[in-house]
Amino acid sequence: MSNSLSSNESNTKKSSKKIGIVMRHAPYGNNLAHEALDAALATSIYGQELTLIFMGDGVFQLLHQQESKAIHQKNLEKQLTALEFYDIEKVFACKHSLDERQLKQNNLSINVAAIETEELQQLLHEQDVLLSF
Amino acid sequence: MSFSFNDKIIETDKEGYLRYLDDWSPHIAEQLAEYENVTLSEAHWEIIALIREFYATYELSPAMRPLVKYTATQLGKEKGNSIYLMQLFPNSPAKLISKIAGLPRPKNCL
Repeated sequence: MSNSLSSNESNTKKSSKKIGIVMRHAPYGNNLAHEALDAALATSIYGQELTLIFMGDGVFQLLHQQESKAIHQKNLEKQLTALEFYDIEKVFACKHSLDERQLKQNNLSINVAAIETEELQQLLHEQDVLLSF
Repeated sequence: MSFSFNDKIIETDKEGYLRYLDDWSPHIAEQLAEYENVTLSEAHWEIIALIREFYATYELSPAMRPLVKYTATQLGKEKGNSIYLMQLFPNSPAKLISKIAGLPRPKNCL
């Protein structure tokens, strides 16, 4: 059993792609934030190089103290804190978007690397596949 | 689909996952386990409690890899590995544990 698992792993490594998932919308108004998270969690299982990028109103997804129970929705903040168990470690936010909305790291529920616009462009450019939500 | 338990109708989806998570109780877990031909021991209950704790904390039913990782952090490496979990819950541990623990089907499970 463990042999077949490890050969599967090496197969996925050979075909590994850099996949960037871009969050661009505030949560809860529509289902995009949850769809993006689903895509990220599903992708993580295939051992791809995964990067999450929060930009524009997407940075609102990172806010702490989300009270989604009041609208009978799952709590995105809680779900994002599970990313470490899915080995999703590359999580970036657009610094300009954070600044525009006057958000600082201590307003956010998880640790993200806030990057400048040029770095962000570079990061987007490096990805083999971009999925925008 | 549904089954009755103590005169109460318990609804499930067609794969056997509870429709209403609040219906869950340890007795229901025993019933769900019986349908899957699993006899629950202390070791099983430990994992069931763990996955329910994961769900309460993260609002996600974990797929196999996060489940293994979480188990390792909470109970140590002897239990936090796929062989241990497969021995307790054969075939698809993540799906089976979620089902018996009364959680939704893990979405991202192969």
